[in-house]
Amino acid sequence: MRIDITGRDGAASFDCHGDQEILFGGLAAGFGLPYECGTGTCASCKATLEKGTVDRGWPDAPARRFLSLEKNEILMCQARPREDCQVTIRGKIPEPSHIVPRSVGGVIATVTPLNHNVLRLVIHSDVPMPYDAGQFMLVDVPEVPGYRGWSMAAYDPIAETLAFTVKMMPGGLVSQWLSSADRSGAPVRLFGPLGKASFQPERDNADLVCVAGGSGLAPILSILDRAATAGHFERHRANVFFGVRAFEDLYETDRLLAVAAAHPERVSLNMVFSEKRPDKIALASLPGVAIADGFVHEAMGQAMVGRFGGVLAYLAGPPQMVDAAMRLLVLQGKVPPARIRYDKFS
Amino acid sequence: MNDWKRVCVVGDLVENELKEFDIGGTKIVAARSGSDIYVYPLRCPHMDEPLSTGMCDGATVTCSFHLWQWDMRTGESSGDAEVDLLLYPTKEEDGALLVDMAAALNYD
Repeated sequence: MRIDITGRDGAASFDCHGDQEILFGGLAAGFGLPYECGTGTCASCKATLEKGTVDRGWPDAPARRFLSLEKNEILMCQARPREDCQVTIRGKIPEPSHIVPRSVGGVIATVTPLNHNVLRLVIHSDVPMPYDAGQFMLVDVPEVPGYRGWSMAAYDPIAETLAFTVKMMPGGLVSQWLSSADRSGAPVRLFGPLGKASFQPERDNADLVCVAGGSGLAPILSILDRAATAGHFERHRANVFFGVRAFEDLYETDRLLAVAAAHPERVSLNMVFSEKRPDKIALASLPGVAIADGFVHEAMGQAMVGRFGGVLAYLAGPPQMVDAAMRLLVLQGKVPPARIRYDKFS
Repeated sequence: MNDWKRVCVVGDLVENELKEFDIGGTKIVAARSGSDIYVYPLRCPHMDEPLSTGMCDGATVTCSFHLWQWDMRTGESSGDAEVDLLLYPTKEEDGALLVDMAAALNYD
C-alpha cells in the first residue's frame, strides 16, 4: 500500500504492507516522522487520515483519548493500512534519524534480577542494531501481544547484544512472562532504534545534567558509557541525579560509582531518596555520592542553582518525575527546550 | 463589531499561572505578566494540548507537551515552535477582564 504523509512543510511517500504500522513503515523507509513512545501511549504520532482506511490497532491504546474522531485522527504507531492512504500531520516533517530503524529478529540470552523489582534483559539480535546512546528499542516477546519500549542500558558499538532494564510491574504481562520461567533462547522481534533523547558526543559538546527516576536509569547509563569512552569528560562535566524511594530500590550502583571514580573532577553522583533515607551501613556503600532526601527534581534544582547555563539535560523515569524535572529546567533553569531531552512514555 | 465578554476579576490572575476559562463554549487561557493580561486560545497550535497545563514565567509561554515556546506579549514563536500564538483583544473595566470574542481564533 502507498502512504502519502503531508506535513506543514514537506511530505513523505512510502510503501507499507498491511501488517505494518504506518509509523514504522515510514521510519524504516528513512523518513522522519513525529513520535515519542511508539507504543500507543503518548499521542505524539497523532495524525489525520484524509483518505483511505486503516486498521486502528490496539483498541485500548491510552493515547486514543487524545484523538478526535470528528477529524478522523489516528495514531500512526498503531494504524495499519488497508489500502493506499493520505495522512496529514500537524507540524513539520522532522529530520530523519541518522540511523534508520528497522525490524529484525533476536533471541533472549539472559534475564537477571538487578534488585527486588528490576530485571536485566539481554537480547542477542540476529544482525547488529547500531544505536545512539539514550535510544530505545521496541521489543515483542512471545505469548504477549504488542511491542514494549525499553532503553538500551549500555552503549555497545558492536550492537549485537542489547541489554535492557525491565521494571517488574504488578500485573505486567511481560515482566511476569520474563520472570516466571527460564526464557533463554526465546525468539523476539525488535524494531528500532528509536528516540530523540540521544547523546552523540561529536554533536553534543556540553556539560550534561542527567536525571533518572526509578527504572529510568537505563538510558542514562548508556549516555554515561558513551560519554566516558568518547573522552567527553576530558572537557565536560556530568551531574547525575538518581531518585528512588529507598536504598533497596537502587540498582547498577557499581556502574555509576565506576564512572564517577574514573572521572572524580568531572562526574558528580547524587542519589535522592523520596521515602526512606539509607542507614549508615548502606551509606558506606555509596562513597563519594551526594545523598539527599525528597524528590529527585528538587534535589537537582538545588544542586544546579546558578549552573544551568549551557547544559544539556537528559530526563528518564516515571512521567510525573520527567514532567517535574522538565518544568524546573524551563522555569528555574531557563534551559532552552532544544537542550532538554526526554522521550515520554505516557 | 466587538463582542466583549467578561472573563474574571483581573486580580484573580496571578503571575506564573495559565488559567483556563470557557466563554460561551469557546475555551481560552489567560496569563499575567506584571500589570498586563494576555489571553490565548486554550489549545496549543501544534497537537491541541491545553496550554493550561503548560508554563509561563512572565516573559515566555511554554507548552508542556513538546516544549514549544512563545513570547507571552506578542505570541511570537521561538525555538522549535512552528506557529505563532494567537492573542485575543482584551480590556479591563471596573476591575474585570473583558475579552473580545467577536472572532473565534483558531489555527486551521
